[in-house]
Amino acid sequence: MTSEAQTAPPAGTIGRLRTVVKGAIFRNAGLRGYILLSPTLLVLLGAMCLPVGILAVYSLWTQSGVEIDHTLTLANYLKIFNKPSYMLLIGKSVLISLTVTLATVLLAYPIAYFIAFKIKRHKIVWLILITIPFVTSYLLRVFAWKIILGYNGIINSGLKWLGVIDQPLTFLLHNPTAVVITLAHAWAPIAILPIFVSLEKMDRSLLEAATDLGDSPLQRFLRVTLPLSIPGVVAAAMLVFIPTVGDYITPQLVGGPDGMMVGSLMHAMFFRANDWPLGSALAIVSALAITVTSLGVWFLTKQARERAV
Amino acid sequence: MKFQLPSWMRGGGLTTYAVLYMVFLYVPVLFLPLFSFNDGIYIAFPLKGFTVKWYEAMIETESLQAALFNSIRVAASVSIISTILGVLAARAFTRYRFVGRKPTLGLLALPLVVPGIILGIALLIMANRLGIPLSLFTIGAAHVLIATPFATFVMISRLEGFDSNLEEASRDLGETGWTTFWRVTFPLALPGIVASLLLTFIESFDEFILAFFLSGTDATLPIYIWSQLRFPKRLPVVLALGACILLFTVITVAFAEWVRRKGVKLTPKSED
Amino acid sequence: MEKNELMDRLAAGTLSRRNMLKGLSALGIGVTMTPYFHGRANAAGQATYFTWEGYEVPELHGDYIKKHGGSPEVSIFADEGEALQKMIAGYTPDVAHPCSYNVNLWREAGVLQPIDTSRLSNWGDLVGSLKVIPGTQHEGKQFFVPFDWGNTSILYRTDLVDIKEESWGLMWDERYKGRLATFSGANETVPYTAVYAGLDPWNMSDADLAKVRALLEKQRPLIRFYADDVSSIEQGLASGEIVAGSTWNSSNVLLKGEGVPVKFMNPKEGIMTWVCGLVMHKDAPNPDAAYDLIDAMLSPEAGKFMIVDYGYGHSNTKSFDLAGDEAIETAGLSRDVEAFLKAGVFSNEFKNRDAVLKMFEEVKAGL
Repeated sequence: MTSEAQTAPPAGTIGRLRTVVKGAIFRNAGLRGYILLSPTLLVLLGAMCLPVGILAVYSLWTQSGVEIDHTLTLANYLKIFNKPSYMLLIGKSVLISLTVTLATVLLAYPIAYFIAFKIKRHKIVWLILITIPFVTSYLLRVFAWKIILGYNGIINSGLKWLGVIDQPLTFLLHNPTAVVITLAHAWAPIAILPIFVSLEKMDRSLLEAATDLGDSPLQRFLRVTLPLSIPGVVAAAMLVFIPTVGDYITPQLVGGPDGMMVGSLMHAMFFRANDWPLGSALAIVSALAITVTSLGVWFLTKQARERAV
Repeated sequence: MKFQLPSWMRGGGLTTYAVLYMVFLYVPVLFLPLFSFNDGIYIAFPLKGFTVKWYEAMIETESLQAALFNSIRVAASVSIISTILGVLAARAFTRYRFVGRKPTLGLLALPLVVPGIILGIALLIMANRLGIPLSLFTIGAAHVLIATPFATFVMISRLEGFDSNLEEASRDLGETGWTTFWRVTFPLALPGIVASLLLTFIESFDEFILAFFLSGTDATLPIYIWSQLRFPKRLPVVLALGACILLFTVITVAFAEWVRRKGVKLTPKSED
Repeated sequence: MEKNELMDRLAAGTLSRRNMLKGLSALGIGVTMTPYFHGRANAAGQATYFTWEGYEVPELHGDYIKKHGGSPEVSIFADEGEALQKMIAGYTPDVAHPCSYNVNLWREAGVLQPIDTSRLSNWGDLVGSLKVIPGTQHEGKQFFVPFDWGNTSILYRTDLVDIKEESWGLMWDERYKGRLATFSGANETVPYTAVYAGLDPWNMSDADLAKVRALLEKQRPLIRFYADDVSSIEQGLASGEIVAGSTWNSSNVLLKGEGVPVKFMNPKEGIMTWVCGLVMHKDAPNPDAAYDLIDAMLSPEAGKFMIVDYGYGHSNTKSFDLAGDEAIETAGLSRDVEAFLKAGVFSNEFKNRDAVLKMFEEVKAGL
């Protein structure tokens, strides 16, 4: 490492300029913040804003065959808002994803808590144990659920062997419940890690203080641990909720006709029905639905947290 | 000497839950190795007999190996790049109060509110307009885009409420910014960095939709697997690959742990 | 002993975690920095073939391997619609594999170039009627080289289905509610629905389309799953989860080979027939290799493999001599290709394609 003392003292105009710039940077926290942010922002602006801009423009065009009519119109949005079934489909997708999120986070919290507080050594081993199953492909894990829930899968053949049923159960696969189970399994580590991180960095002396004040373990959890871990929980919920709304692979593989989500329709508009503009409009409406739902969840947890403190 | 259970086995209900949860995580995945030894092309019970022919077929399938290597390369690059970007952004957000902080944070989350398929097609059009040929590079770039918000959120979660007094103390003690970073900031951020690297690696290694739209002739593993789902004859070979990845991961982790423990045991000896 | 010592030293060596970290990061950087474009460099001059999985096997392009010393680069698509969108967005393979009814759309989208058939040594041996399928030629130029042909029909379990006569009506039979499956592609499912309704699938009026839509909406609750790929239909039939599903010839060959009691239906309303083939991308980077690939796939040897191993027809008349009459009969094919295709309902282009495609997607999504 080169220390400052080893470099020659700055000389001439360039040196003075360096000093001035350095001074400005040291004095202005905002500028330093943006300098730190700049690489990330450049990547996101260049690779996000342009594509999203294209998407927005597309949603105002119309298409017939491979020809795109560049006249700006709100026709696609009117179609979506005038036909209740479109909004119902978006609503159903949001509902399925919310159920997945709730299930995933509720299941993940205790395990994150367990690793953060009950495990004294080898925490990293546990974290790795949790991620190991997820190094196998997502598509194969969905397939594994097909094996378990399938017509002659583990559950059905097991129950048959026990004599509980003589005809395989058909309500296990190809419905929205199968989508929820599969997604809750698939997104587990994504939920565990942020919650664990927020619990792990918690100031342990606060917990001791609560115990000293005579709190029971449950009171201590509700008054100290849970509120302090809320940022991690919210991060986990967002990380699970947002991507699952747009998923079309899992509904396609295990959802059956009733497990179809809005992602399937968007995919179809782009790749089957040749209507990119309608697909773009659907995407934008879905993105808005996601944003509104996320803000709602965030607002509710914020309220709950403020009331608790 | 009094016998004592390791700490994680004491604690009743929570421990039982943890064990059950691990069963939930592992059982579906363990069917992959089971059926990779099944002598039949359909993934259904009853099992038909033991065979290793799928593993032999796997070793002979060059396209599969190429896809695996492609995925590892992309995921490794993506995890490193996006974690660096995430650390920088998270540090800016948690350390400095600046104008436009909140909107910028929202902008950062943007890749997450755009469904993967749409982002995929938009990026594809853009790559086309800019004349960038489709390759592993375009897949990697798209993955960096979606992995960076993940990395940033994890790092913010770690650095939030981070005591900047520690850094000031270090600076007061005459340390340079660089030394302060290595001695104080970095060790405190390390668990977050590890979590971020893990998370983004998995995110990229497993990502299908963007990779599907942005791939040229080189396929990543999920694209390869998706193409194999059409053909039951090839599916067991894919299961064999899944089993191998699982085994490889377990061995790597076990070896790392063995080395670490060995290291811990040797410490007092060397001090003798 | 020595080995143990080595392990101990290894363990002791890693005592300094810094060294281990250094080693690991070196490995990581090494893996990361390996050039991204190596596959491309190796494959200089090889054609890129964009196709359905299963058509890239070396048996189908033996002559190409002889000339170029290796197989072409392969890229797989699961759906022709997806393949087209990818090419519109800029992906440029040399050769692709659509079916005849999509050639017009692909040409209009500007991704195809005409094929100079004088460069194909096997062109003269191809079945004449396959060369002139409507939509595959434009302004006197050939845009499509026929390669494979076959049927779309219902494959059903003879032990689980009880029917008096073979009809598409099985796909609307309430007795088998939740035990039927059909393709998720409009190109497959809409035509047989129209045929069942007694309509001409390729020339549907708005009223016809409404009838078809009503039938498809009636079918939806009976459907166990809409299949993107034949393998899920095959697995469903093998396990008994579904008793009937729409599929292609190869499923029949495969499941019979597995000993599953199935029959490939010849519905009284008419079986669906189709022809798929090879096209060249407008900006094909390696046109010479592309012609070699197309020609190799037209060879009688490749055709024999198609007939015997996959149960599909091939465009080269000599393939049938090579495969033999027994194989042709087992596959349920015929030497008289024209009669075979005419005996069923040949897959054409929809007159109002956009409306048909959008209608079926809406039905599937429950709109």
